[in-house]
Formats: sequence, structure tokens, C-alpha cells
Amino acid sequence: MAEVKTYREALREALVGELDRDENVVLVGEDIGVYGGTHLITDGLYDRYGPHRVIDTPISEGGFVGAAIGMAMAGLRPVVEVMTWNFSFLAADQIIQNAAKVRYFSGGQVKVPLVIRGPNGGGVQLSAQHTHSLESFYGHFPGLKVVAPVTPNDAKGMMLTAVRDDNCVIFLEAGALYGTKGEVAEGDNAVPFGRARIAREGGDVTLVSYGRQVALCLAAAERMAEDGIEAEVIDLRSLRPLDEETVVASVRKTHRAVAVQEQWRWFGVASEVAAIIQDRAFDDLDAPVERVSGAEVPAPYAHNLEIAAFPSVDQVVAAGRRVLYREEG
Amino acid sequence: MPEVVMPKMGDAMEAGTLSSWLKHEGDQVEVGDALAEIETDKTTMELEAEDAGVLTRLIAGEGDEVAVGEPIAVISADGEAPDAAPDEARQVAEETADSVGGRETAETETGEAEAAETEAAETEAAESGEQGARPREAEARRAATSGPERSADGRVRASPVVRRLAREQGIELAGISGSGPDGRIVERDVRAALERAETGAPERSAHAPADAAPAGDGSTPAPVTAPAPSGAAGTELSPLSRTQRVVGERMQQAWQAPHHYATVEVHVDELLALRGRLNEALVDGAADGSGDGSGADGPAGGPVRLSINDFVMKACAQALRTFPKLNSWWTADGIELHQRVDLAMAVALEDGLITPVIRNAAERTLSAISAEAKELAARARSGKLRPDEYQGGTFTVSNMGMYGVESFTAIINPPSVSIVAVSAVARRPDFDAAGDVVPRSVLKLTVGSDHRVVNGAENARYLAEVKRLLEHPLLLTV
Amino acid sequence: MAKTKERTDKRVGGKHPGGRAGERTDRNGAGPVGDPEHLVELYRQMVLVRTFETACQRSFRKGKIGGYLHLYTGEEAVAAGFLSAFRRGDRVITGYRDHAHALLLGCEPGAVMAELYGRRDGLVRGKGGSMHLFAVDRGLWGGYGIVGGHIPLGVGFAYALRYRGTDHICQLYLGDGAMQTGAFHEAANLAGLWGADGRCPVVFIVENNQYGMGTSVPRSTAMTDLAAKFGAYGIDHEKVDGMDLEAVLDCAERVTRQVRESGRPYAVEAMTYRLAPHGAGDFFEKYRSKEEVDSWRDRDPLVLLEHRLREGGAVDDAAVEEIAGGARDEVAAALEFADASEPPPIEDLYTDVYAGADEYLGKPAEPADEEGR
Repeated sequence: MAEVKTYREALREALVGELDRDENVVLVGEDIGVYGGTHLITDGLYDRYGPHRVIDTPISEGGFVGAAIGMAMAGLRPVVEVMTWNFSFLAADQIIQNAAKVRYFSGGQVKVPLVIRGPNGGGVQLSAQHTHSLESFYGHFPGLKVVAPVTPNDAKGMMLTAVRDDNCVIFLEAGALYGTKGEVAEGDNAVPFGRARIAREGGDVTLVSYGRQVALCLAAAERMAEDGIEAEVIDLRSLRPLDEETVVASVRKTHRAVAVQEQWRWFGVASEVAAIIQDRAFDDLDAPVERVSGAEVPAPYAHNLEIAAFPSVDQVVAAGRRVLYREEG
Repeated sequence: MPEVVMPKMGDAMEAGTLSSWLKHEGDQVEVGDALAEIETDKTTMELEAEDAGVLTRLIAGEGDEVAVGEPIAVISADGEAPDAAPDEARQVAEETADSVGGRETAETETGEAEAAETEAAETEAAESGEQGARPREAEARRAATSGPERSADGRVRASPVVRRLAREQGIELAGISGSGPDGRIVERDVRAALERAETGAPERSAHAPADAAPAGDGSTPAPVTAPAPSGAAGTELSPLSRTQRVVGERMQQAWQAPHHYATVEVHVDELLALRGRLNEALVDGAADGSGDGSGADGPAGGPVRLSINDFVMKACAQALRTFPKLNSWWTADGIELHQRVDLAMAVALEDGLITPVIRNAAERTLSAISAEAKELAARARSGKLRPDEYQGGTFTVSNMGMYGVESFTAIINPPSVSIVAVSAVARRPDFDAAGDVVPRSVLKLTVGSDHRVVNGAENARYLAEVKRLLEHPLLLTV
Repeated sequence: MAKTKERTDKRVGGKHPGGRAGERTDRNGAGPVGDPEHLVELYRQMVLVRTFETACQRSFRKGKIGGYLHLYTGEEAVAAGFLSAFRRGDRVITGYRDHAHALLLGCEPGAVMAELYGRRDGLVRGKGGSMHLFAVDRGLWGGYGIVGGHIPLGVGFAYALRYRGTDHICQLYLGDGAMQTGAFHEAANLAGLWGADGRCPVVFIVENNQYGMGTSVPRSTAMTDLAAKFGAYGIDHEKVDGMDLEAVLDCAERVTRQVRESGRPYAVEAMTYRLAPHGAGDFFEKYRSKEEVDSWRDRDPLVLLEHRLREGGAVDDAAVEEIAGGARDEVAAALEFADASEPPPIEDLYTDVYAGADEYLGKPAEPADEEGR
């Protein structure tokens, strides 16, 4: 059975399910309780679970993320909301130096079953300081897991998996997608990490993406289909661990790939994807792997500039044609 | 205002190079005046004016490659003025030249051209009767210039999947043109090459249209597996010229016919004696201006001087009257017998071979054949043959006697089905009928025929007839 | 090692011979010696720590210990006093100056030394080194390298301990330098907030050794009354003489009981002094004078306690020598143990990055099942 729900509702459903199932699950964050959460993910949960399980914090990202790490090390399963991932830099020391590493430098004596979640990425004119896409930033650190669900079903399923995981999970929600709708399976639909989703099948070119850009790739695929090019669109949805197998198998079939990301090109996820492809599917490549990324600038405010700062359908289509050695259409 | 356009001077010609102007802008020209020299793959021809007037504008520059049908100059009727600046004209010519490639690329992309070109190829095969080195000017030229780009270290540029396919399928990348950036060979180029191999279509670059397929012989020229150059010390790489490439491909295809051979030794003492007497008579006749009744002048008006090869050619042609199957073409729809013997004569060129044709050789006299042979050979060596002069032969004679060759086998010239190889005259002892040792002059003839048309017995009987005629050479004068 | 084990067993359970420590009155400054056996036991432990730290310095200079080395020399009374009040189930968390806490919680000296030597038999299997000592079964939860970075963790421990309905507390050690960091202030605010209704049983134990590495408290801190800073966050506080074990002991017993009962946080600023350099690399100690160091040597906690014990007749020369000898033997055995231990196997490079999976790059991880929770 499945119902159509919004991404936001799907997230809440997962949280409620786990809060009900395990009394050790607590929520921590700014304005998640009385206010209901700035994105209404936790709306209504304060009344349902009380102030000691839905904890409104002061504006102290370092402090409360660190405290949540401590709670996790002490047997709770906290889900921390960062109001946006742009604020996580204030907690970066706790996340990187403690959450990611303490299991390792304690010789395996401790674990950190923690989820840090919040809206990631841009596209709504929030300007430079409120617009970051942090997949490669956090994906860089061994000890963290990083996921970025796109569909409402994945939002719920991957949240279930995240809460149940005994490691620190960086849960990057596509903020621009909170209102999108999709079928969400009822009950326990836990989606495992490390498995990509093939959003569209095709044999001519592989488009690899995650987050908000998956919809962009699907739109680009429709445009390319008008010219007889059938693109395969892969939604990575799990960045650390990353499903190499699915990507490589696709490129072995299509012989060409374009990696699309909102973030900046330098040292980004698309670069890693390109390296994996050339490493494991070198003899199947007909063209270099293209990367379509955000413009190498801090995010601008003006609407037209912001649109230009992020990948467009045109850019993805052009890249797809380039790897097929077709003239720009 | 009449435009002078690049003429189509051969079946498969798509473009020609304007190698030099013979007139200047502003010159007065009459109909028939030579305006320019146009270079095709095989030959250089003069372009004659079809209109009279003032050559008001030269559009193409020397060395420009211009597509067939595109303007290269303008002749204004007296009094008219030119309507564009020379610079623009040059640009138009360049754009025209470029657009040849561009147009074809576009066609290739849509995928429709492939079907159209295959059709065209088949039609050409039926019509052309081309033989000898075909002037596939555009294709060959493009093949030479846009062949696999070599990077500085001599490696062919190819995508990784192409290299893998090449390894797995034994494809030689040097024979494939790359349509990717900087001439990179990409997957579609290899796929196309494999398809061509399967369908029997000839190799062509991605930018050129199809040339004529070998006359529907249905045989498949398999891709050649040649190794990459070693680049070792002491070697020097010589990339193929247009001519070499075309001749090479033609030979590859010709070799597909199932050749079989027969050799015979001809006693030529009588022939030599007759030749000597006839040549004396011809010289005498020329000297006293009385005419010898042969109706032929030698080249440059001098006396005809018969060669052994003239006799051989005449004999071969005459013998074909009674063995018409050796005077046929292998076509897409069957064996086409020709009544007239159009004898192709092999002439060696610096980097290849050409076979000018002596039309109706069986009906012409020795001296006529001799004069024409000499004239054709001279023009062949200077690259001045017209296409109609080297296309359409029905039988080929190839003589290596001048090199002292004792015997050799030759490769048939499609679409014809037979070829005779003539060796040097040798003097050696032999037995006469009484069993005594006598000196004899002999030469060897080796006939090669396509076994799909001519079987061994027929081959041998034809050769016996040629021998008979040569050993009774008076029969060649009637 | 049998002696050490006995001591450990004695301490676990909180009781010691000679009466219940909780009944002692506040001894700051004066008062009769009570529970001599217990004090002698604590003296023994402090001598062990001192001997161990001295040996570490020698080993470091011989090149047997890599990286950083932060010694507790001179501060022994603080940890000895407070950890005497430790109860099984409590959690202890500190920064990188953590050898004493490990030893005082009963970790084998050999295991601690082996960790410093980077060997497989080390406390955390050679994966952490001096700054990352963990022994969670004994209540030691690290061992952290970023100044102040551990403080929010401790506050989180406390919240969780109370959330789960236990009466366990968290002893959170921090230095004067750590109180300058944002992490401290944010965590203290959270502790005060959550503690207001009894949900944050954390004892902040400020080991004020007067210096944040090379910068004295007055040069780095606008308001140098460190205990009072806790008042800004609604946390009760007091100061104690960190060189006086008995004073610390009194304070510790009282404070921990109070925190355990109320669930509210408390802060103790223990005035102490590092008689060793900040770290083993701090060779020249350009930031303080020899005179200053010497003056603090007069307040060496071991010397102070020894005096007291002698005065009270609890020890004599023979006992002192026996204790010193015993410590030397233990430390010598620890050095031998560490020397003999093998380095970790190369495969350990990849272990314990994640809970629940050993291979993690490029392979999908299995979702944790019910049992793994």
C-alpha cells in the first residue's frame, strides 16, 4: 500500500514511527518544538512527545550538536535538526572531530548513533551565506555517512535507516523539495544506504546526479528523447557510501556519462564520480565524463543570477550531446 | 552573368582542386579557351570556357578545393560589371569548400545519408564501368587529410571503447576516419566501419559520400589488420598519398575475384622478323611522304614504330573475337559480354598505376594501335588523361618485358574479368621438329581470369589462340 | 599487578575502610585527618601517577612516545580526589591531559603505557595515543584533542543519564583554557538550561593550572574568577585548593552527592599548578619563571599529603619508601609490558571507522537490524 505524500510529510512520518518505536529517540534543534520547526517537519511533535524528547535549543549549534553527540554516546538516538545546513559550519568541529572520529580513536569502544538533518542546497534566493550544497564537504570524512534523498518515499525510507544506523548520518534534505509529492510506502519501508536509484532507463548516455538536480536530469532526458537520445538517469541518493556498481554498470551499457551537481565543480561529488567511472569503466568510455556544476561563485541573490548560478536543463542537454559527439541542438 | 563552375569530371567526383589559373581577371576569353587547370585525384585537366566574354572575377583561389557545381569564376558578357569584391569571392569559395564537409557531416548525423549513399553506390556500380584507378577525388582526398589524427607521438586518437573494440574485433584503426574532436575515432566510426565490412561497401571517411561499390560482386573485403607503426630507430613512416590509397583499395577489391592463371611460351622469331620488315617499310614510307597506306602517323607526326607489345595487344584483342567471355564485365546483375574490345594498357606511374584504353582494338590496325598506345602512355605519365580515356576497358594487357621479367601474374582490373601479363623476350636454345638444337626467341604470356566467368580450359584455349596468332604474325595484319 | 586490582576493587562500590567519606565536613583549609587508610590509599595512587608521568617524560625523550604528551604532574590531587567519589555507572570525560584519570579509574599502567607507545595492547589498541584514552567499562569516556571540544559531549552524557532514569552523573574535567572556547559557553548554557529542572547531572571540574599552554589566565581571560563564570549560566559553583587532596576529597564527596540527588549541574574550580611543561614539546617554558615554578613546588600535593600523613602517624619513612618502591616497580613493569607489546596489525587501519560494517567505501552498508540497536 502506498499513499501520495509530500516529502515533508514523509520525513515526519519516519520520525514519528521511530519516536514511537524506540524511547531512546529524541529530537534536538532550534525551534523544532513549540514553533513546530521552521520547515514544519516536526510540526505537532512537541505536543505529542513533550519537551524532553523534542528539545528546543538555544542558538548554539556547536553546543547542541556536541551535546547530541554526547547523548548518542550515552545510549540515546538523537535526531538533530540544523535549521539549514549552512549553519552546520558552527558545529563542524563537533561533527568532524568528534562524531566522525571518536569510534576510531577510542579503538572501537564507543559508537555515535546520531542523525543530523536539515535543508541543504539553494534555489530560493537565500543569498550566499544561506546557500550551500554540502555533499562533498561532509562526504569527505571517513566515519560519517552522507545521504541525500530525492523522492518522498526515499525521504521516509532513508530516515528510518538513518535513525537505526549506529553511526553519525548526515541527512541532507533537498530544501527546495519539501513540498514535492510522491507515493510513499506504508509501514516500514527502510531504504538501505549505498544503493542508487535508477530514475529513468536509457541506453545512450548516463546522467548521474543527486538532490534537486535529479529532476533537472529527468527534464533534460525528456528533451534529449525528442532527438532520439535515450538517457539513463541515476539518482545516487547515498553519497557515502556511494553505489559505484550501479554507476559503472550503466556506463558499461551507455559508454558515456554526465555528472550533474548543484555544488561547485572543484573537488565535488561529480569529480569523484568521474574518477570512479574512468577507473572502472575506462575501456567502455567513448568520451570523457562531463561535469555540470554550479557556477564557481558564492550564490547571488537576484533571481536571474541565481538561476544562472545553478545547472540548467540546457547545460545538461548540451553536455549529453557533447559526449555523443553531436552538434549542440 | 555566366558563372564558371567546378565541373564533375568523374563518376564519384565531389570536389576538385583548382591547381592553377591559366587566365587572369579581366582577360578576354573565347569559347574553348583553357581557363584553369583542375586537379582531381588521378589527373589534371584543363577547364575550357563555355562562354565568351571577360573573365571578370576569379572566385576560387589557386589550391582551393571546390565542390562540384560551385562557382569558381565569372565571365561577364562584354560590358557587364562584376558584382562582388574578390575578397568576398574568396570567402565564398572557402565556405563552399568547408560546407562540403559540413553538409556531409550533417547528413551523416541524421543517419539518412547512409541509406542514400548505399543506393547511390549500387547505381554507380551498375553504370560506371570504371576501371583502373578511379578518381575518387573527394573521398580519397578527405581520407588522406581527415584520416585518424595522429598526436605528436604518432598515436592514433581513439576513445577507450574504440580501442577495446579494435582489439576484440581485429580492426585496424589506421583505416578509420575519426569524427570526434581533433579527429578522434569514436564509437560510431567503428560501428560504421564494421557495418561496411559486413555489407561489402567500400571504406570511406565519415565526411565523404559513398564511392562506387565493386560491381556488385558481393564479396566482402575484410578489414585489413595492419599493426601500428613500430616507430623504431631506423624507420621512416610514409603516410599514404591519395593515389596510393585509392590504388591500394582498388587492388584490395580486385584481389577478391577468384583468380586463376595459365602460362604459355610463345616463339617470336617470326614476329620479330615481321616487325623488323614492317618498321623499315613504315620509315621508308614516312620519309618519302608517299604514305604507306596504314593511315597512321607516329607521335609528333613521326613514323610509326611497332613494338612487340603492339603485336601482343593486337593478338590478344583479335583472339577475344573467338573467346568473348574473356571480354566481359562482372556486374551486379550478371556477366555482361561486350562485343567491342576496349583494350586497357597498364602504364606504371610514379606512385601507382593507370590503364588507358585503346578502343575497339580488335578492329584497328597494328599501326593505329601502336600510335595510340604511345600517345596514351605519354599523357598518362604526365597526368593528362581524361576519364573517358582510362575508364571502360574490357580486357587488360600488362607488359613488364622492359624490366627483363621472365614471367609474372597480374591482378585483374574490375569490372573486367581477364588480364594478360607479358614478359621479356629471351633467346635460348630449343629443339626443332627434327630434334636438333636451334636458337629461339621466346616470350611468356600469363593469362589471369576470374573463375566465376572463365574456367581453366577456356583460359587455356584463349591463350593458345593468342600464341597461334603471335606465332603466325601475318594473321595480325589481315 | 595484583595490588592495583585490589585497590580498584576496594574503590568500586564507594566504600573504603574507616568510615563513609560522605560524612566528612567541609575541610577547606583546616580540620583533623579522617580515614587514614583511605588517604594512604589515595596517596599511593597519586605517587603511582607521579611516577608514571615522570617515566613518560623520560620515554618521550628517548623517542618511544610519538606526537603530543600532556602530563598531569602537580595536579594529581584534583583527579585523585574527585575520582575517589566516582561510582560505577558514572561517566568521566576530560581533555588530553588524561593519563591520571585512566590510572585512577583502575586502568592497567601497562595498557596505558602501551597506548602511548602505539602498541596493539594499548588501552585503545594503538588507535588513539596519549590524548585519546578510553576505558568505557571503567567509566572513562575519553580523551579528546580539541580544547573545549569535549565539553558539549559531557553535557550530553549528563542529559542522557538522567533521561534514562539513572542516578549516574558525569564528571566533566576541563582546563582554564577550555573556558575561553565557544564550545564551553554554549555547553554551560545548555547545562544550566537543562539542569534547571534537574535534567543535567554534570560536575564541571575546572583544573585551573593557571596557564592555557603558554598564556596565563590573566593574559587571556577578561574575568579571571573562573568559578563565577558558571553563575552566568545558572550553575552553582565553588573554588577549592587543588593542591590539597583532603580539601578536594571533601568537596568531591559533597558535590557529587548533591549533583546526584538534584540532577542539577555544579562547578568546582580547583586551583592547581602544572609542575611539568604543558606538553613534552614545551621544553623551554618561556612563559613562566623558574622561581614561580619553584614556589609552586612548595605546594606539591604529594609533599603536602605526605606531611599530613606523617603528622597523623598514618605513614612513616618505611611506608613512604614502600609506596615509592611499589610505584617504581609498577611503572617499571608497565614500561616492560609496553616495550614487549607488538604494534597493531596493519588490518586495524580499517577497523572501527563505522559501527556495523568493516568495509564502507564503495560497498553498500547493510541497514542496522533490530539486534544492532
